[in-house]
Amino acid sequence: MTGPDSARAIDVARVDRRSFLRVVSAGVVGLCAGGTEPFAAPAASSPGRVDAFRFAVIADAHLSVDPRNDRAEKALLRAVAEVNAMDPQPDFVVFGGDLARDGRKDALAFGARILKAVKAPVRMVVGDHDRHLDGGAAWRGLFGDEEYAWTHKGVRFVVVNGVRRVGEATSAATRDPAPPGPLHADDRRRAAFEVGEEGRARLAVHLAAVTKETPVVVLSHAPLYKLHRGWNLWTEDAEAVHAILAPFENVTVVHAHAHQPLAHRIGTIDFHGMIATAFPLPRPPEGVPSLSFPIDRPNPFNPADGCGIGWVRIAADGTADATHGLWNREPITVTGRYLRRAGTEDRPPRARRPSY
Amino acid sequence: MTLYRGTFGALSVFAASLWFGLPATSTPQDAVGPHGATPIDVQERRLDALRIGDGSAVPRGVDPEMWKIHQPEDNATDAARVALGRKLFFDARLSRDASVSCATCHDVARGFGDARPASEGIDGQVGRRNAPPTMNLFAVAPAFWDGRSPTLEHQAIQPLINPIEMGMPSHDAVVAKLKDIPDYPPLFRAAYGREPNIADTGRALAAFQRMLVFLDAPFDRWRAGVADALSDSERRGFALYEGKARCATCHPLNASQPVGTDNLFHNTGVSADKRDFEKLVRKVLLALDYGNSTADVDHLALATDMGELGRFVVTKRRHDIGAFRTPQVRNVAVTAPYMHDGSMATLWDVVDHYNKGGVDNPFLDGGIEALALSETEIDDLVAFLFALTDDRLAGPKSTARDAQYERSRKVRPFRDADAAARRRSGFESQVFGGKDDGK
Ligand code: HEC
Ligand code: HEC
Repeated sequence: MTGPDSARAIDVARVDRRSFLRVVSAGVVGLCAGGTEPFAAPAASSPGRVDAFRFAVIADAHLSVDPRNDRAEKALLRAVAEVNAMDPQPDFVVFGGDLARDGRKDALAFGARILKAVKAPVRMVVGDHDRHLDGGAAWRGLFGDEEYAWTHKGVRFVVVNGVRRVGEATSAATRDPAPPGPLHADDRRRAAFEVGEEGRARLAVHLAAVTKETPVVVLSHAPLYKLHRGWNLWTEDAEAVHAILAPFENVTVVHAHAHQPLAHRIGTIDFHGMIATAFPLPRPPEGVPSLSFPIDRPNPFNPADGCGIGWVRIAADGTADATHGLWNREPITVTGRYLRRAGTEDRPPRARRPSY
Repeated sequence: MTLYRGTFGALSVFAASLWFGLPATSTPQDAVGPHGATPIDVQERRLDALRIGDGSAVPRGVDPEMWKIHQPEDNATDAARVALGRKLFFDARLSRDASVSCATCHDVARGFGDARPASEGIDGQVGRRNAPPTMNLFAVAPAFWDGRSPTLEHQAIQPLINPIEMGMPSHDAVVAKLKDIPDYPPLFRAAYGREPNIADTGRALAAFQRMLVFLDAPFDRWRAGVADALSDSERRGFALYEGKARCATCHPLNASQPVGTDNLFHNTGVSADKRDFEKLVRKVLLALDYGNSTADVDHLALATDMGELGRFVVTKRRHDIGAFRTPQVRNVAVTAPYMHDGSMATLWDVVDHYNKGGVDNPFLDGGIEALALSETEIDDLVAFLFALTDDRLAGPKSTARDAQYERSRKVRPFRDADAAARRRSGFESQVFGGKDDGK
């Protein structure tokens, strides 16, 4: 299900991990990427121009496959029905991570089964909960490598694993599974998220394949910036990641994990935080980035409120407009233009909704 | 009138008595008017016996402050307006062939409904929706199952020109007719200080309906401190209503929501297993491209299967697919059959439906969950629903309870004990297509 649908996209899953690292550290990055993937020239004629298209986002399903509480399962089924009903169909559907609540193999497999019903091709992003029990082994068994890239209609898509724990590569102690306790309530006791050295190297490889004018969309579970450490809305090596993205003129990060709409711009990078299907989360204590559109408190009597699906429209100039298709409210569209004009233009209208 | 008694009348009685085999609540067997309704003179006498207010004072059982809040600025209730509205409500001359009045479908002798799954209007045409009672509407808005009318005033003039209800060609034609009937111009002048017009017709009908307040139930006496006003079973039922059965989340019963509706829209899955929602969505969007006036939407809702999309037809928002406005629960004892399509014959059926977690569909309201109610609990909850009946309707209530009880001991078409106890979950069968091979 994961991985490229076109022959020219790189299939990182097929690259042996150790030899991959060897080439990276030997500094022959370009050779490696070129060796497995013919350089993908931007599809459109003038640099940076693309054929406009749309992809959908489903995220944070948190399946537990427990008949005593089937809300999460029902919500994911609804999300699948919703994207299948989109007309015209999205070019593909990104699943933004946290398919399974605590990373159990049966829950992941069940989720894979549900996602099979999606009509459009599905692209998987790994989430922190997916890796809770085994560091992602079961997930990889189902969906392949966590990090991969492809070019679609002139846009470079790069999927990163933004939920490695700081130090997990070297120390088993900081690796998931986490110490006992509520999974999400307080992530401070565990190490922070990072893309990590390996992840950053792969990101660089995946970007080396295209010119600096090529619009880039980075898909990650974690936000890739620093907002609230307690819930791990936090990427420890955010600055280093941004530095890799900085040379590109047109970069959009689409992430999940926050279970609420978030919008941000750092340097030349646009960030869109997408909503969850399973449940909404409150605003972090620090508040949200100033360009964000926090929604009112979700209705406690309606578990679907504050949840939903999303979709992202890539315009001909490569900017990305993200829409939060809330299930119990008006949709909110945050345009790339709004982010790039620092909120002075394209301000989404204030949500109209009944009180409860 | 007599002309129709032999034709549509006979057919309708047949249809009405056939539904689910239950007797229509308290209809005198010998007295039937056009379209199977209770004759107007009988209805008027019934209404007199119910002693509703004449509009000069706040109706019994309503908090005066609450009443004030619900009074529209341009239509404060008074006796002249209520009298005019009452006359209009019972007047079949407002329909194209003088056979249908509001009271045909909102029959005083049938709990202000028509005691059949879907209503019959002009030329014997049967629509797709169940007629809700016109009781206690002062606290209910927006009007209609899908809320397509913002106010009672706006609502009241829609049936007049709906081709399957009263069938008048236009509102102008209604007004012309009213001006031709010598009784009306003086009544309009007394009520609104001007000649008959369509907006005042709606206002007068709304003013009359606002006075149809039936909030004097055993439950209200118990709330007021009369400890034995409710039986043990009814009291247990209320605890379930507010607790385990979760009814109060959508049907609140409190000082600010005395009639038991949140006035919001929810998909509880009533029509989900009969319809392909997506196919209907495509159909309705196409239809609304051709015409989306108030009358067009009214027609789609009442006369086509697209009405099963509920609120979606009004808003075109996907999350409104299959959602209907929460109906009041006051006096439900005498307003069977239930739900927007009249698909449930008894309150046991209604509770069975909720107990199994409604009918799974992508737009099912998040507040609908399997409830794991036992049979005793179901009986208690139903007993409580009967205790929401105004004392003036005690006769019809006991007839209905006997009939519903008897039926519930024989058939329970909506019962699914496995789903209620979560021994089987909807999502598994949806994903595995009924085969449990994925575990
Ligand atoms: C042919 C039968 C019929 C006639 C005649 C009729 N109604 Fe109705 N009425 C219905 C049905 C069916 C509905 C529900 C329709 C819907 O919600 O889509 C309804 C709904 C209503 C409602 C909304 C109640 C609520 O809970 O939202 C009111 C008020 C009402 N009617 C008043 C009237 C008045 C006043 C008249 C006369 C002008 C009238 N009706 C004539 C069948 C009828
Ligand atoms: C999520 C909101 C919700 C909850 C919870 C809920 N209801 Fe309802 N109820 C509705 C809606 C909406 C309808 C109309 C559905 C339709 O016709 O499609 C309805 C219809 C009804 C009706 C039919 C009334 C009529 O006039 O036809 C009864 C009776 C009723 N509910 C009782 C209950 C009871 C008892 C419970 C608790 C077990 C309950 N409801 C829980 C929203 C809710």
